[in-house]
Amino acid sequence: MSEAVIHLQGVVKTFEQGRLRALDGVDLDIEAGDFVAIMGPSGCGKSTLLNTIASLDSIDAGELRVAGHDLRAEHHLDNFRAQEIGLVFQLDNLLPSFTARENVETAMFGSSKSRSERKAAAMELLEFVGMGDRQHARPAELSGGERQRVAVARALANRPPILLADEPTGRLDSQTSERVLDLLESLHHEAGTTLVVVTHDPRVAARAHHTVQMLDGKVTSEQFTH
Amino acid sequence: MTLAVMVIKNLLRQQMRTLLTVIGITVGIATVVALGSITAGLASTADAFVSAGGAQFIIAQKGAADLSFSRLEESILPRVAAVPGVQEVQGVQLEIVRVGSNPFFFLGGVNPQTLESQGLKVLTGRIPREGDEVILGVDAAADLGVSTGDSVELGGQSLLVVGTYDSDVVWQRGGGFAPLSTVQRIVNRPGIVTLAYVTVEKTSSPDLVAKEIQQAVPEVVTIADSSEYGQVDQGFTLISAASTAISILAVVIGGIGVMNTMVMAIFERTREIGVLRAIGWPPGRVLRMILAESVVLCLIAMLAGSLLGVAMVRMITFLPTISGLLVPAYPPQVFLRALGVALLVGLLGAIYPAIRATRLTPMEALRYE
Repeated sequence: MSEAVIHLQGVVKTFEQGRLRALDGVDLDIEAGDFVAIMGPSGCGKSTLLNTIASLDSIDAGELRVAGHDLRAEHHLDNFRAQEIGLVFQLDNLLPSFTARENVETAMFGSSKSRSERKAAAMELLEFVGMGDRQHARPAELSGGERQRVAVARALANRPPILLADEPTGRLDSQTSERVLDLLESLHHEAGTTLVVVTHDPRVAARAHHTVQMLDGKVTSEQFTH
Repeated sequence: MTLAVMVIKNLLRQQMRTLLTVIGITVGIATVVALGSITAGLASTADAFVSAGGAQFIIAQKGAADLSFSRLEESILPRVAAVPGVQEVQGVQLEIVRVGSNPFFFLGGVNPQTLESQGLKVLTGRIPREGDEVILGVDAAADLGVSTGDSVELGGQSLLVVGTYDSDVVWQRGGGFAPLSTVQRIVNRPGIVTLAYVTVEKTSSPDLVAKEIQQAVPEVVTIADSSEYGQVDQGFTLISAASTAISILAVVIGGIGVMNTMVMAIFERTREIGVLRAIGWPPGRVLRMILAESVVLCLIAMLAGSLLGVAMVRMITFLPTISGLLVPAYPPQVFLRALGVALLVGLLGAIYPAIRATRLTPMEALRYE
């Protein structure tokens, strides 16, 4: 068994001054190159788990290591997120004033790429997600599926080893959902990206190799299908 | 895309709000530029006045509220002339008299032999000799519609126009000079001068001589340039103070306006800032983006305000009652001050929203509705 790229041990995350335990002693190991679906009813802590792995939320107790970084001790979380993590939100969260290509470029500002290199890399990613011909379109001019594909391209901007997606198909029709899932799966196969998807959608779970079930802030079961 | 492009695009999202903010700051900057130009023009005129005729400085009555109210007994001039290092002392009577519809006609009473050394260029006729003679500035002659050989009534006294002159000093072009005794008689102040020009020997230091004059003749003050003008002209001091006060007001009012704009813009974009933080933007880059938006806004206003300020001053100088009195100046300091005000307004206005934005955690910003 290879070393876990994401390691959680006894992770606790509370809200409302400790009254709400969103994560209640979560133990979880995710290997590099894994495709994981995290499932469970609303409010079970799925999104909180994803946010803590992404370092968007801090934890109150336990151990959390991601891509070799101890997130409780890490001082450069911005740099960690830029280099190690790609994030796809349920809402695409694209910047409305900027074109598809510019939205992808925003994630590359901290990289050593020149302006022209950023432009070329953004175009390459848009081509990869099938949006090359819509590079000049603003989010309002794109369909939900197109916006989510641009969001995936932005998440891949710095070629992160880990891609975290929170309900990426939650607001999409079934046909568009399939296209987005195909995209994520091809990324996983071709680039070996570790893919962690929070979802209610059984079709996502069916594609994943590793399904994690959560309830009341705890991991209740894990299933390895491949 | 660069951060600069992001800044411009963010500013263009709410075009009307951006425009109104720019207009507000533009008016403030225009006021700063206009008052600065007027003050600089007055200082330039004052410097030219003080150094007229090659004098190093002037002396006037100590404690006079305004240079035109200065009264010096002619009898003290020999005491000034006796101070070591003084080469020459020339008393001058300066009066503002009504001539026709012009309430601000400058009439100078001087020793006629010194007139050409005052920097006047005689255009027609000659300089006055003793008696009821006057030489008029080119603008004054044109305004009064008189030429050499005509008579003109000044302060109730008919004087023969014996010539016309040109000068680089605006109030000299709009006035005239007559013999000192004639002017003293017209204004009924025999033996009194307004001020005196002091020329210092080449081997002496004007600063040291000025100090010695003030010790030897304590009832006078010496004025070597516009910075010392406030000693005898509180109007000049007031205009300078008003210029500074309005600059401060422009910073405060402009800063509040910019802060309002930036706070609204940042509140509206809180979630977007959360997205940028989530994809790895450090707080410093978010801070730079917000400050840059504010500073760009203010620099646009600085350019527009400078143009508007210059245009306002130009229009003012076309007014008939002002045109003979004021020659505005546009030294770089006026525009550097406007630039300083604009940068200060931009930074002060953006500092609170920028710090607020960077203190939010990515999740706080993403959850913001």
